[in-house]
Amino acid sequence: MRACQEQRWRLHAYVDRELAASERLEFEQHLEACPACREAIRELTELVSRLRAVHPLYEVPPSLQSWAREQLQPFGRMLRVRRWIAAAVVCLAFLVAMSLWRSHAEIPAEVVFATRVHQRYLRGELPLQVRSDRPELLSQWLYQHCGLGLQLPNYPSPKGHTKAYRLIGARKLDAKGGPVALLVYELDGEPISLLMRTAAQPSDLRAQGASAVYRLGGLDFHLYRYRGFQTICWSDKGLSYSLVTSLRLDGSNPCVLCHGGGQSGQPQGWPQ
Amino acid sequence: MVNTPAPDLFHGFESSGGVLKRGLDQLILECYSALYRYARVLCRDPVVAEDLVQEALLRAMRASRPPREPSLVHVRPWLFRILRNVWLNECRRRRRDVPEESLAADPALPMEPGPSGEADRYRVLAAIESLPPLYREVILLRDLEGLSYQEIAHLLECPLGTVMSRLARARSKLRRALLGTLAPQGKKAS
Repeated sequence: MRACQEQRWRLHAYVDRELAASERLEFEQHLEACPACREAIRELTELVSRLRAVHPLYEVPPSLQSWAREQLQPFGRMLRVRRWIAAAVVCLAFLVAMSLWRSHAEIPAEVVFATRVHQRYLRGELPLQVRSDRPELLSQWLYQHCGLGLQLPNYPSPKGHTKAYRLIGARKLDAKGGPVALLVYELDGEPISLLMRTAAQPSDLRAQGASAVYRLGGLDFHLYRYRGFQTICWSDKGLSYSLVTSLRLDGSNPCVLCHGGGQSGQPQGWPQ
Repeated sequence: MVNTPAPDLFHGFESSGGVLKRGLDQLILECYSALYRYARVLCRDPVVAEDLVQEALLRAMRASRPPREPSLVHVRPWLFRILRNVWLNECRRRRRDVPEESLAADPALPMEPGPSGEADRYRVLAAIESLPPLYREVILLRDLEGLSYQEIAHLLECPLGTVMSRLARARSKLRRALLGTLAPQGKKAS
């Protein structure tokens, strides 16, 4: 019995379950009315079942079996090692990313600001508006232009030594919270930026995120390391200060270099 | 009214839809038997078939971009494709063309008949082996290895319609070859 010519291509797809649901439904409706196609489906099903009965068509030779196992064992080991390495690299990258994110997330905004200002000064993007090494002259300039009433100290140099630091000049910066004064020093030819502003806003300085906190003369000095620079932040008498430099600020180069020593020659509480 | 339910001819096939969480080495290990059967259908020579499978497996293990999804549904067609490329290269090397759409029957290699109880199996095997290569290939891939039309079309790099027409013709030839020799379902051929 011959199946309908127009349904012929559907017979195989139907038996092979390759028809879409709508096509399948349509074809089954046709089958109900067409004994020729039903007979063709029966014959085709029988043939496919008979073909499947001879599966597997060929047996794999034992030589190929042993060869495949011999080859695949070291291949499997190599894949597992690769997976472990890949997993380790991903974990390491995640830990590094988390560590960087955490360390940056904990850096106070004023440290980030001070570091950027210092970087811009180093690139020559913030030329100084006044140049002088006289503290009293710069104190007056700061009062007139930035409204900061303070007397810049002129720390003595230890006996028999030239003064370690040198005052270079100053510049006024406009920031969100009000004007900020940038004072630039040099120590051994290395620029040091000191940013000063009125502490109208509460400071977000905190021990968390700081590399160290030093207590000196009743003040807390927070040391941060950010983008390859070191920043010391502190507040005193209504002003907040941020000092940025690439010089090492702990242990070997304590503040006594600039500020001079007390009776002991060393500020109290500062790391040795 | 007669409602003819679609026959369930698929319960014995390896799952090709589920994602099986196994390593590539394990998946290849599960596939190399099917690869050998495919190689036999392509070249009809057990020694050449073994060489083809070995070459295909070596290429698979050296592949820089294996299937991303570690499942049988991706790995098996990938291995079949590698094997087919190896075979086509071998054909080119031997300067022997594979007849693309030839319908001429390719004489079957002599086969050893099995025990008397397997006489029917022997006749089916002989009928399959008597088919032209392209028809043997599509019968093996669909009816014996259970690949979908889409997978076969992708493997053979031909349209879906070509796969369907090739399969229909192959089955038609098989049916004619086995006409009068096939025992009805459930009965042993004498």
